[in-house]
Amino acid sequence: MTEGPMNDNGWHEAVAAHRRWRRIAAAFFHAPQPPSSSQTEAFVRRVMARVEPQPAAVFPWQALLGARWLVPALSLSLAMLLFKVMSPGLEAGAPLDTLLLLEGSDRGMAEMVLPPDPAARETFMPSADDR
Amino acid sequence: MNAPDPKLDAELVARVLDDDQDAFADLVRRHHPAIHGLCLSMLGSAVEADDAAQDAFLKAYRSLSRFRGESTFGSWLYRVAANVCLDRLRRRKREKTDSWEGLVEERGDDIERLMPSTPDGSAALEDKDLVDRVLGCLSPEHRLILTLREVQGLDYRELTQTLDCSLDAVKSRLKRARQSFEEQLRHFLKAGGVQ
Repeated sequence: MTEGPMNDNGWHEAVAAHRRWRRIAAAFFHAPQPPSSSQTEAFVRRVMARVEPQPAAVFPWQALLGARWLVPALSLSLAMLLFKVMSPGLEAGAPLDTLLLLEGSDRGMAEMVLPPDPAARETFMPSADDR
Repeated sequence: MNAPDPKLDAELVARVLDDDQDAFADLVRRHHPAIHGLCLSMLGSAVEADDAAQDAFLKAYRSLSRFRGESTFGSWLYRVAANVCLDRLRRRKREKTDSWEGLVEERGDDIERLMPSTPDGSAALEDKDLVDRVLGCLSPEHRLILTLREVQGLDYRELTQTLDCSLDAVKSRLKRARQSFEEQLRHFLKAGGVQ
């Protein structure tokens, strides 16, 4: 296999860089002595002396308040509440059953429930022709 | 990284979450050598390393309910310990003013004698304190990734888990850390005759 001068240079550079780095690593990065088993046992005792029981599971308010869906949900609720408060009273006046009767499903019943219509009273007045 | 068996770790974690403190003692026992090694390599001082290792285990204990098992318990614990060490190094950096220039002026000859003349050779001088002061001139982030790679022997996959970043990010961080350290030491590298 023949290699061009560029590849050759690149290869030499890579080898030199690797050797440089190995020298640095050998000088400055040494694995420390592992602890003995007695040192580990002493360490375990020190840690366990500071350990408190796991906190009891409580309702995760923090997680709930931190939830991203809460912002749009609250905004929507607030908007609906404002709309409800500021819109004109739709249900003012007659109760629902009366309104349904007014739709004409039972005109006779409406006449019994509702106060007499002044226009309707007019029709009972004798006309000039009648007289 | 010679990690303890992840399956047994997962069982122990489940028992700890059921308030079994003996299970946590077992976890500490199993992972102490690795965490001790990381803290000692990062911080230099044995006393501070012991403190940091304790903090790491206690922090892990308190936040164990948030461990989702996406990585092994060993990697997660390593990440907790690495963050504890980073915090301590950053605090130390703010308090201490050991500049590289000052250190070279004061102990340049000794730093030169720390460097072996060949990649596999041994140094003419072994001075733990000086090594620690030289490493102390690195940024905490560079020191962390170089320690994890060169001392703890983590491979790229383990580095991505411990540092919680992508493979590309690991490669570029490692490259930058090496270049930065080499740049700092270039005078001594030339003196050793390896170019």
